[in-house]
Amino acid sequence: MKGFATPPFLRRLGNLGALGGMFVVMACGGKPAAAPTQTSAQPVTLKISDYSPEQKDFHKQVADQYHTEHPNVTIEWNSIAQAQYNQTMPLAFESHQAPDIFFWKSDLNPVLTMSYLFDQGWIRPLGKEGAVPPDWQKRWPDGMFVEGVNVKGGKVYGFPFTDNKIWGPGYFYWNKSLFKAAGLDENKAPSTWNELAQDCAAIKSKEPDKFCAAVPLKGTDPQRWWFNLAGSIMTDQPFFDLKSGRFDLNDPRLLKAFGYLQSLYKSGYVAPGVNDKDFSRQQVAAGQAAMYMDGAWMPGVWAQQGFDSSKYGVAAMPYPDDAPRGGLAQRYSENKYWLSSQSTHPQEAWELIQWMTQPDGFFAQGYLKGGFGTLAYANNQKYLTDPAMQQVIRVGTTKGFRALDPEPLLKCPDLTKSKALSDASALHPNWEWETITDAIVNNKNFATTAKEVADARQKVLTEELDKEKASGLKVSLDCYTFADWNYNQDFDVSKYTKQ
Amino acid sequence: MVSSQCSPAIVRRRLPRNVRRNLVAMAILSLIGFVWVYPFLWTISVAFKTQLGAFSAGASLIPHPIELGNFARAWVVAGFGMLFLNTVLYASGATLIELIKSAMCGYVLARYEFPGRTLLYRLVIATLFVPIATVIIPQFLLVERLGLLNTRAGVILALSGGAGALYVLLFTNFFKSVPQELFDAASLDGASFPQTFRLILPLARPIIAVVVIFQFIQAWNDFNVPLVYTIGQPSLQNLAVGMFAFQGAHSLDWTGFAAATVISFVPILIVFFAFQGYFVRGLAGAVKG
Amino acid sequence: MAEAEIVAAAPAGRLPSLEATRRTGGTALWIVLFLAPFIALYAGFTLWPLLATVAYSLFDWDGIRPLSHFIGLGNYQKIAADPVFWKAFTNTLIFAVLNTIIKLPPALVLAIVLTRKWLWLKRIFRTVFFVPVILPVSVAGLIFTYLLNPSNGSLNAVLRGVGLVHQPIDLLGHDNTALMALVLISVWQVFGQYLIYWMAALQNVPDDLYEVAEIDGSGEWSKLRHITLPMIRPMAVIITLLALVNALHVFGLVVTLTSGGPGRSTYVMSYFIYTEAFSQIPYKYGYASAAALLFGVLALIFVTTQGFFARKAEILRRAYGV
Repeated sequence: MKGFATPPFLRRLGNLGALGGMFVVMACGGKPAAAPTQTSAQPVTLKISDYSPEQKDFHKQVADQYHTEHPNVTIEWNSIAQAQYNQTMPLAFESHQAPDIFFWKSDLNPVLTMSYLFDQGWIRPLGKEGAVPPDWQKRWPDGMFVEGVNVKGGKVYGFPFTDNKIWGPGYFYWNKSLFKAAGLDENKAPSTWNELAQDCAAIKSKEPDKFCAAVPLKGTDPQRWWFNLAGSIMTDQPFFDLKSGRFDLNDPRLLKAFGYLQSLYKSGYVAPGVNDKDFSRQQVAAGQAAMYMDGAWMPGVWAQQGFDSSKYGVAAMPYPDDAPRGGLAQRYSENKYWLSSQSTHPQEAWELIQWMTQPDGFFAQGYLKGGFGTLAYANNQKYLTDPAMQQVIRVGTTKGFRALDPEPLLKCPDLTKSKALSDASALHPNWEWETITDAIVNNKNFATTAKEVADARQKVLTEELDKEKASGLKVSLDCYTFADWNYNQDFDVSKYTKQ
Repeated sequence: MVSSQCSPAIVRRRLPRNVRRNLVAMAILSLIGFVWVYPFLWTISVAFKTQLGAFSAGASLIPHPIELGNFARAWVVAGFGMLFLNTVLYASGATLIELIKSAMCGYVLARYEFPGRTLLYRLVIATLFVPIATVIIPQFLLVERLGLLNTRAGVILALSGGAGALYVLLFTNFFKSVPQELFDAASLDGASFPQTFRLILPLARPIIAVVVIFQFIQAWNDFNVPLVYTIGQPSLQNLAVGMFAFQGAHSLDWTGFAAATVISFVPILIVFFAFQGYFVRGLAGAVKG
Repeated sequence: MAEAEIVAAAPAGRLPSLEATRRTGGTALWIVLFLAPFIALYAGFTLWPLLATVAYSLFDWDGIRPLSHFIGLGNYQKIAADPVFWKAFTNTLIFAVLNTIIKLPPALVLAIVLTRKWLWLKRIFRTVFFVPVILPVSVAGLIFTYLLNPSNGSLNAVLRGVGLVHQPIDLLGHDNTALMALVLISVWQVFGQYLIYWMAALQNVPDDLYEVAEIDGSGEWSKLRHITLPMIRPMAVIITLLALVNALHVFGLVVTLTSGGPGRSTYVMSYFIYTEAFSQIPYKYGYASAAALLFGVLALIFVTTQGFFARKAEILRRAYGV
């Protein structure tokens, strides 16, 4: 038996081990000391979290500017992708590491975001115990602070961040050069469904190598076109009809919308493949497809991809020819930044919020100029100078484009404690999108599968509402039914609000 | 080899046979290899393209126009400076711990009888089957209780803990196949427990190489663990987490993402290239000793 | 493929009798010391979360509020009655079996080829075939959505350029081809891993056995059948088990490549859990836990019964001398 001379391999491993040991020792201390700032007032670090990493540079500018104006305050703004954000925020709260201000929006029912956050114990009121200066509230149009939505028991907890008239679905975009090449007027968008089909026919015949419509079908991306189609004939509220209080995927109007979409496919007007929205958008930008429908964020997206706003047009979505018009939904859903209950500097955070929400302030100007979105408290028209965004604003503020939808919460305040609608919507969260894609791709009968979906959800809703009613809550299906409202009318909230 | 018994004439005839085999093999392997590596080459080419160029290029690997700015942007956006260091640390640390724990446990599991041995082995296999989607909260609670949140040690621990038991199976299996004669010889020589282990371990070089390569890559690309355990200290994140910076609220910066992917590739390729040599110098010859 | 043989083979190994009788206090201490790191990490990061998952599965829990809404087997009942769960289950099994069958044998063949002494450029080829493993799975999915796209993807460009097809083929756009495309792409992605596993297994085979066989005049095929395969057999069982288990947990690729679609044709179990429980806040942790456990148990049963039947088949085979 040979002696135990350490083979070179093991020696190397041993060195690695020593190195590793060193790392372990080094790693055991992980927190660097916080850098104190100068001056008399207490140095304060404010942490803000959201899921907009594309605004990283802007966040840095904001932090620098605020630090110049308030030398004792350092802002740390962290952004990460949405899925990861939703996963880590609960863990942050659980381990008492929550930021001072954070972004949160419930997917299932954005209007109930405040209720959920309050139940979770994550938020605290703004201002002085919820009392805010009246001229702060005046920065917003009347009626934006609603009990149950961003006010609770008279205390203000949130504020609308993004505007809810311009920002949302409903826009039609087209590649101008492709239109021109097909002999169409490059500055005119189709205004009805039939016109769209006709334009596609022209494109198909003159430019057979290109495609007319870029419709994404992957995952939840059918919503890009679907919300526009549904909104033009009925409503784009995700699959719930507030007029009849029903889940509506198999409503005759929506079946018609689906039929139209399917006819575009059958005529060969749509770019093939089950693509995601990034792909479809790039197709239009690259001139491979002529038309795309989506929301107000497209100019920002395309600017990033190098697709200049002079190369595409913006218009309202086309409406059906032989059916009554529907309306896009305007909701109280844009309350996004919240003051966290674990903040150790609520006063400074509140000051920051006030600074951020100055209509002509540094934040508003920079945010709008950067094309990141619209703001509910600022003059979007003045600062969003990109020509395409100007078009978007023009379309978005047209009367009747987006109508204020009824808010069940105002009719039945007890709905803040109800989980019936979210449970019904949470049953197979992407069911409608999967059904739509499946029916298109595999030529299935949409009416039967749509009925299955709508009935299943309705069943959960009614059963749970009954249970909740039996346990004492003042809720019922009637809370969700507004029979004398029409989809493209502004709902009259004065009946329900105490203002 | 047999050659010492062969006359030079036979040796000369052997060579062309090898060359012939090689030419055939080279042709086939090159063709398959090219198709195999094409998607990877495509990613590299995307890193040199513009957004729209990448989209419209079809099958072409040649960027037209060429865009060199993606790499610089990737470096800045993904925060390569600090995050790179963290990534190296986490990957090395986790690999080392994994190696030590699996080798030692596998050794004992293979060769020693102790109460609960069967149970442990069966448990290890059974727990391979449960999907790991829901374990993040309990693991987080554990690390929090240990006071290791927002520390590099916590991340390394979670990475190696989360790796689970599959490497133990490999080591166990390997150590079982080591012939008894080696152990008898060692004990006759008066070797103690750890000395025997040190003697036998080098034989497991292929398994060690497997563990190092796989665990290193796994830990290098893991974004879940470094993200969750460094919530309060973003400077402790690793590259994989940094890559999320390309995923904006509305769109993906594809070319920057490709460039970042390419940059983060290189160290792994180096590790692989270095450690794959261990597959050749294996058991050959050890059995006779 | 006698997966369950491992379970049987383990404690019945050929060796420990010697060590057991000589076990003194000193050896026992070493055993404990050697087992300690693994047991500690395993207990903390696998067993404890497993127990916690079992507990969570009995509640309706969003991961945020206190664990208070006990519903017993409610989650399990809902899941077992859900046709989508069973669709995901069958998809996952089909995927796992196909994936394993397609990736293992070719990987073995290539491993044998790439360890031949006479082959040139071994290191380069090994690296080439290994490279896809280094790609994070989500990146691989994104790449292939571009490559396979019927509008302008590389695959279609090549096929049409060569004249093989006139209409673009949409592999990911049809129910019947999407799952198969997923299988093939995932095989591409992990192939290098199994190449390495097989190479490690092949190291167990001492060269002198081959030399003896060469002198005896055995051909390549005969060497494979009578030396290589039997000698790597124990390792092969482990590798197959690992291959199956990894395939059962496919996730990242599905998210970026197909998002479970079109429709639900590529819905796999981890994607089901992700969509049902984690795609929208508030999360459904209890539901996800129940689904994960149910799937784990079912998968374990599936694999062990496979192994059971494989062993029976083996015994019959030997009995008939086939």
